[in-house]
Amino acid sequence: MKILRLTKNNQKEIIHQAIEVLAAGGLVIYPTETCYGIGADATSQAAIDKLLSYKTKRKDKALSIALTDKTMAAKYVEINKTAKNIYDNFLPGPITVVSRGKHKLAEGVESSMGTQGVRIPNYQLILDLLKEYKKPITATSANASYKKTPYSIADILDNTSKKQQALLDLAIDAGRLPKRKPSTVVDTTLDNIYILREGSMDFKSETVFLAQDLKGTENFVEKIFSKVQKQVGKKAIVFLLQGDLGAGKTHFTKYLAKKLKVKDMVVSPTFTLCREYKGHFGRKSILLKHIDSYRFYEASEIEALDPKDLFQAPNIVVVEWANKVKEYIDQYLQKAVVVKINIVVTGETSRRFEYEIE
Amino acid sequence: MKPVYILAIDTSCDDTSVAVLKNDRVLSNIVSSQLDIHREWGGVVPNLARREHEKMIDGCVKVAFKRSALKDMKKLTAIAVTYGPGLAPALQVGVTKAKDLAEELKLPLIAVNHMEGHTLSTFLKSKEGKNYAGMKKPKFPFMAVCVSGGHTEIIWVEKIGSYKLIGQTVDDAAGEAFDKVARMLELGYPGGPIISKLAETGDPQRYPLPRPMKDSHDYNFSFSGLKTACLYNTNDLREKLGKKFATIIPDYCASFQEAVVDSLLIKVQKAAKKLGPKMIVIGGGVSANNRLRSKFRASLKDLGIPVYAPSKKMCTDNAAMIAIAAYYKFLRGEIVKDRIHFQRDPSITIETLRSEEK
Repeated sequence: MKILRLTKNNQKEIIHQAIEVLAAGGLVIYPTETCYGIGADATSQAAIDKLLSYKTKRKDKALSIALTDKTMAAKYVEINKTAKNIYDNFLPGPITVVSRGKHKLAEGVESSMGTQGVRIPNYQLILDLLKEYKKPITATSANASYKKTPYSIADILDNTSKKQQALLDLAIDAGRLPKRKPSTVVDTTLDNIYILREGSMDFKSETVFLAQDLKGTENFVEKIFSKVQKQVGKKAIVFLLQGDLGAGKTHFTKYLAKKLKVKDMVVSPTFTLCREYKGHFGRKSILLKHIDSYRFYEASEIEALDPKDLFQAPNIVVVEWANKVKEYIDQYLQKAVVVKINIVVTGETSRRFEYEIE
Repeated sequence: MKPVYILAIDTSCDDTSVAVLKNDRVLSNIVSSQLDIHREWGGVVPNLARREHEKMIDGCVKVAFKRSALKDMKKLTAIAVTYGPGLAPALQVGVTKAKDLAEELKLPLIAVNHMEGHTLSTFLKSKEGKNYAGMKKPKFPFMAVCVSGGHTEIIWVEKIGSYKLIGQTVDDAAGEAFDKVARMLELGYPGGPIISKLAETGDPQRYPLPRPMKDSHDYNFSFSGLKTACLYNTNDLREKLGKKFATIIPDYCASFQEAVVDSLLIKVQKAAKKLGPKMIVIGGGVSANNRLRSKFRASLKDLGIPVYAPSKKMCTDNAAMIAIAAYYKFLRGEIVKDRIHFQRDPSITIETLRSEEK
């Protein structure tokens, strides 16, 4: 491996040599604002294969790429609103943005889920190099598998075998880098299928209930439940809720739980996707299942909740962010009583409930 | 005494995790999201959901075992598994696998409560015996503060194995508030790391946000109100500032983070003053937040109470923490006797005892 010591005057020469190596499918160790990275042409299969044999045990990891700006990124990944916000305002910098890939990179770069991490390093030499090379290079850290994060060329040489070192072609040595944490990774792909203020549900004929405050919400729960209570224990009862963040979807569920004599505290199911509570109505024991599809990447992920079993009597099911999964779960709702509810925020405590019982 | 080797499985929510411990030392700890496990073990499947524990589990067990360098599965002393709380079908995968392994290898099976894992995650040591949290000797009784995407709890620990839930969120978890506010600011997922990153350059006093329930006479929390306050607040600011909105994001992140940390700290301090724990340990994904760590340490130092935080890898869900809880259970002789009837229980709390343990 050739080691080039970076000075004030040799940047052009270094860029020139690095590009030659990259174009020939070689591996280049380079400095960034976090740690030393290892670059291979992300569009060249030979280069990526070489990198993966250097990384040995890391074959099970996707590789992030470094490039110059949003325009260049748009060639390789789909940039949605969230990604745009980050590119426009916080890059270059130590953030890796994950987007859906466009499958234009060598195999082994994108994850097997088809997502791709992108970095725009806040390091002028590398930005200049990328601008001239016009193709993305890998931005994975230069350490061998599970060895420490490299802040100097010595960190790399001390922790790799002769065989691994033989695969390296060039190192750009900027001396010892300040110890900064690896980049922060954010996934923007959750925002692909819906946005924060998604539309409300469509009804054939809706009924409206106005609530001035939380007491009004409780009254609404009373009213709507009285219309379906005969079916408790016979059919699954499914409440499909739609409404903005903070509309009171969990509050609705809390009052429903109260009605069903649930003893445990009803808390948000966003993280666990589904929470279940034992309750009863009259002498009938029921299970209240509280589902939130907020974190689903796609509707079919509800399969992870065993929907055949889920939408059976005596279960009473509340689904938050129902629009995301409504069409998909239709197949499981044929025998259930379905109540569709839009919650519209009309004031700080007041809400308009639009509903339809199918 | 002969060393105890435990292989533990956690499939409580998103991640499939498997770890191998020698007593309280971590030999290996695999978490599926940190691995592109589909690539190594199954190839690419279209529309692959990220939570398909069934497809992950065998690969994770193999990798964890291989990295433990134990070589022979017969060296293991016991198999441990999270049986709750969590997502029922996900837990099921882990429980089934653990039962099969225990049967096949003729080993004892240990059932672990996921929250006990977070509570004891600061007890973990490296292969060389170094405590990751820098805790020399645990002192009892202590208080555990578990803060994640799904939980926000204060747990009183009289001794290992004896827990009391003294405070919890009444609505959203703290980690969920981070995710949802990140969504409002269009910063991607998960919200915690990116908000914390951008907050580094922000002014935490710039936007006054509520500290919900700060005056309530209990040790409970609420983050739903804070989320809603942020929603109205960011909508107004966006309208007022237009394109300049992005420039205030670092200040907003810092102000929001401060509100969460304060809300947690107010109740933790209150409980600490009243109950006088000998130490406080934190755990869960949000405990990786640097501001939370430093402010907790500084504020509780005044009360003479040391604060310990797990290494960042042990903050989020992982099986190493399940294995250490299992290790102490094994020493106490708490193994599953009736394996046939042993099953997952998605809605248990830290106080729940299995019928065999009562």
